[in-house]
Amino acid sequence: MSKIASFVRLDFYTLKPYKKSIILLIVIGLILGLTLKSLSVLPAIFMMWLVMYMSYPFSIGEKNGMDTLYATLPLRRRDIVIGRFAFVLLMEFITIAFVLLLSLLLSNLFPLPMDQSMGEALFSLCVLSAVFSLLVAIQYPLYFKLGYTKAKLFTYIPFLLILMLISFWSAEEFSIAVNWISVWQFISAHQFLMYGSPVTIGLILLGLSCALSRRLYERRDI
Amino acid sequence: MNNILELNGVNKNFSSFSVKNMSFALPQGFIMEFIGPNGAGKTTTIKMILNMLRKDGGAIKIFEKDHILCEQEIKEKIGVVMDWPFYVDEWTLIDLEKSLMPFYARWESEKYKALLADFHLDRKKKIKELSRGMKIKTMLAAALSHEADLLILDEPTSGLDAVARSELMELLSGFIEDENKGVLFSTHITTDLEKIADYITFINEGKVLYSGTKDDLLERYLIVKGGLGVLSAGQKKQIIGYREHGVGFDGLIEKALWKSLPKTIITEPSNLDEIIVRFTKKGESA
Repeated sequence: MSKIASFVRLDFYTLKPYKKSIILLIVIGLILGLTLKSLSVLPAIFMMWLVMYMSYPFSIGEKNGMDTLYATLPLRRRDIVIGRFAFVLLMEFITIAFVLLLSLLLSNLFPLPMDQSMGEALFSLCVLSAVFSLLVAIQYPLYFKLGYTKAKLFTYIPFLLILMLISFWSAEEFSIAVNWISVWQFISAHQFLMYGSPVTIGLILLGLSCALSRRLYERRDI
Repeated sequence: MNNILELNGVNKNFSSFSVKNMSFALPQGFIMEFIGPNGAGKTTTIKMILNMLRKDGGAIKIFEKDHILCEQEIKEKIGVVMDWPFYVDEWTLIDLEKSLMPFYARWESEKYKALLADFHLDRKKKIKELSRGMKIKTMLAAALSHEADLLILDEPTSGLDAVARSELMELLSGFIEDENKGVLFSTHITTDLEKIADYITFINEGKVLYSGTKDDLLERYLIVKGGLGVLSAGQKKQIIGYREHGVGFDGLIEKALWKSLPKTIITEPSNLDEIIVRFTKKGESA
């Protein structure tokens, strides 16, 4: 097994003690999805859970002094950073696949008055995945540079940025300037723009963040 | 004889502390006691060896290879035990093996199980349920299960009872029977390795005060004791860590110099504790 794959496995084991709370969150997500009878709710809930859990390898790692463990293993610092980003990507992929499967199952098994098509659920997943990537892309270099406790405060910055962007877009003057309906019509007419571009943007952000994290972690004294 | 670990002129500067020109070598087949008072720079040096801290200058070679350029290859053959456990405290000892095993080409599952059994450790127990001594033994089991050639131990005995310390020493004696292996054992408790250490590197305030064989160090010095007023000012200067008390004085002297002292002076063989205490107070090289 390659060192990076071994590190991904190590990250899964790091989260293993939290498997019960992860299962509980999945159940809560399911209940919410069924209660609200909306396919678009499921991606939002599960991507939110994912955002919550993505800082756990750092917080658990810091609590248990795992940077020392990493330093004793036959790994280079860059393997650790790449491994952590690979873990995030894998978790994101698993979540997306899980939500899609779940949406498919729910829309087939239950006679729910689902308000959206699978295509729209997929689109919201792609957009949410880009938002998730943006959050990770900003937070991870901070964690690698400062450690979890010191970086924690700064990691709220992306949430504030997103809130600012949303309030900016929903401002009245901006709403008038942009005809959202025609923008949506244009996007929905182009499949790549609809599904591919959020994912591509997300991947680019993660790639850049991984390169920055590598530089920062290689220079950090543990 | 090859050096399994070699430091040459290693420096590290912090705002309030520095490691200065740290040099020593551990030949294959031996145990080195890395000794010094608390805050001497032992953990800083070990962290530089493991590339946890970036050195500001100098060279570190392990198995005669640069410790950063060949980091992966080197760490396949190193086992590390720190004075604190660095595993997820919710892991069982089974989880621990599953987490570490994929990283090592030479991991031996049977050996890990046998070591846990020898140490009376239950594989189903969680790390957080283990006593301090058991945690150290767990780290040792992990360090010894991938056929490590170099063991680096940083203050593993602090907080261990006498029985656990004795067991650890026995284990290290067994480990070093293979002449291709080596042990760097950092401690501030000099009695830990008195019987089994071959080499001593003694540091204080980030500087090496002595590095060489234990026997050379012990043979080089004598403890001297005598009444007040029997030594001249010049003779007092020759005594390391000279200390006066109610009825007389005591201190440490180089064997070559003691014959110049008055015949009423009593001498005793030195021991590591005395040498370290006296030199730490004086701050000179042994």
